[in-house]
Amino acid sequence: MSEETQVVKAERAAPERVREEPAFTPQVDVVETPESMLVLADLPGVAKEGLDVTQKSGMLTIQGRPEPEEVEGLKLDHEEYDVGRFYRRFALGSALDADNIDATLKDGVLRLVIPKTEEFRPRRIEISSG
Amino acid sequence: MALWNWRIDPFWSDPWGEVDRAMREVERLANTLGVRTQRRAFPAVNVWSNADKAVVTAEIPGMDKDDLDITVTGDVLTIRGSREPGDLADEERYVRQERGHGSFVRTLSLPFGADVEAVRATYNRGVLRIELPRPETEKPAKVQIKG
Repeated sequence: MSEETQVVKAERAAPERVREEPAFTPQVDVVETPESMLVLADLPGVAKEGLDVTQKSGMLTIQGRPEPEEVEGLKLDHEEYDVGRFYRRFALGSALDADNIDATLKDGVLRLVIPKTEEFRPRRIEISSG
Repeated sequence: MALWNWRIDPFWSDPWGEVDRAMREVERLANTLGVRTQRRAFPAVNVWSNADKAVVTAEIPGMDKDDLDITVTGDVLTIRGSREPGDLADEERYVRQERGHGSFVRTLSLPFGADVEAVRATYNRGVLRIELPRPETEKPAKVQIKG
């Protein structure tokens, strides 16, 4: 089984249903590159201070709390979206190096680069002429 | 994936407000259970106002500010833009692709004709905020009662 299949299956097998408050599931893209898994998550309104990315026992947890909108003295006339906590968990396959995750947040998008462990990176096999 | 769906919605009378709220509850519940739902219009907007101004906010994460185009003509506000997926190299592939991309147009009817010169827009943390001051002539005036 490849590592990305593990990510998907573990996430479905263990959904977290009990939480302290309702949370939005951020939409994510996951891209596999030869060296790493790249995760992009939409977290609109979340600043660095409100972001929490943790990794424990092979589970990667993304939590984000958006900055409150400045609406003092204003009346809400029309509402199409709610602002609230973001929460999502992924299981990391053993092929991923969970201790060396690189995280950046820009314009409400979290970008995680999770390197593959050495043995799962592609190696070019030199062909020696006999 | 398809382009963002769009619609023209003169929603200030807001007959669908209750439906919207119900739909969002369903959406949130579905989200909690790990089911993904598709919003009908993008970007979703919230509209706030007081006697002095109206404020429109929209969650549009991951945009380049220059790819957002906001125009005001009389009492019509139009938000246009496009979010393109990053190009993948040959050896790269999507394992999962949930984030929407493509171009979008959203047209909103304002409750007053806005002063175009005074409209201000900011884009921070993936949230677009448009402030539309209400022109003096559109502000509610108190009528004096004689006698």
